[in-house]
Amino acid sequence: MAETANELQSAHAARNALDALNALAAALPDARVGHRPRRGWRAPRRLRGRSLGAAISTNMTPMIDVVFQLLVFFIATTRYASDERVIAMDLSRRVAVTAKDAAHSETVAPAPPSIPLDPFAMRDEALHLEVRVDGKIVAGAPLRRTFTPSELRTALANELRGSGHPNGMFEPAFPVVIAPADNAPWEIAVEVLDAAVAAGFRNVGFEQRTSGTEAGQ
Amino acid sequence: MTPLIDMAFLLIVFFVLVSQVTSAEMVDLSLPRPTSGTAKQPDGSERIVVNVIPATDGGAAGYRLGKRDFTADTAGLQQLVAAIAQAMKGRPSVEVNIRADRATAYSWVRPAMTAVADALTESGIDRTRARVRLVVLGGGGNG
Repeated sequence: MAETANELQSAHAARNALDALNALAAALPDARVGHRPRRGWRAPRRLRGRSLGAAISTNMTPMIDVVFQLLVFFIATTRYASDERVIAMDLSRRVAVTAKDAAHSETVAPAPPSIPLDPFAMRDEALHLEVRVDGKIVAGAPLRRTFTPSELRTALANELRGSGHPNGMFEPAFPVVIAPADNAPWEIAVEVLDAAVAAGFRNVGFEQRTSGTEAGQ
Repeated sequence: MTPLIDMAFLLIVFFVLVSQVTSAEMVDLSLPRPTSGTAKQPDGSERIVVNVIPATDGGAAGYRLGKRDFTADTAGLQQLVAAIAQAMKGRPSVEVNIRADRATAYSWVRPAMTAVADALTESGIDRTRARVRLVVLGGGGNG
């Protein structure tokens, strides 16, 4: 009898242990792999619709809003220099910088003094282009004419000795000195320089003054 | 989401740095726009920029080299010459760009060019080798 009582007692203990395990399993969320969820179990409301690994997350939307605001601001306020061009010049001596051979301007040596084909050609003089305040350009000694900026380029090109104008007055290496008036806007001065270079002159520069309020040289 | 935010921050940093660099050497002015289009694209080589800071009525408020400002009088121009010569020391092939407003009177641009010429003389650079550029706007002609 004692044996049966013993068996009964151990069976009772085993059932008790099984019940406890079942209760524990029922209390745990069904997260274990391969464990089939208990029928009727539902995740807590805050976790519903998500997997357990991504339960913690922050709301990114305001930060992204601000980031894009900053991005747009800096893109809009950055000024680009991409529209800027440069006209090369060597101050008093501007050598061989036409649009065509501008790439070689740094390596081309100053042109040797050309032998004038015309015995009356000027050698040491330079063509003075005086730029007045009203935008008119007064050409000096050999030309003695007044131009408007728009007609300057073709007028100079017509005077240039070249393939189209064998009897032109000037050779491309003939120095052109631009002397803008003090009050002449920089725009017109640059326009005249540009026109002379475009006409084909290779030796165009601004007048150098040695007196005045500037630092001098 | 994370790569997107990474890219956005990278772009922000880029534009912040770029705007700082460009504003340091570029005064806000309207450059002349010659019509013939002989101007060419800058070749991207090393350069120093001399700005003529425009004032009202065609005048100039001073000159700017890098982040330093110089007054438009004799003392300021002497400092400008020294600063340009300092900047060109040891690198004679550096480009010198001159930027001036289209409405600035020539009498205010001339000192800048004279200062560059003086700086060349001072630092012993051959004038025919010096690379001086006038900065203009493109798009007038075919350029």
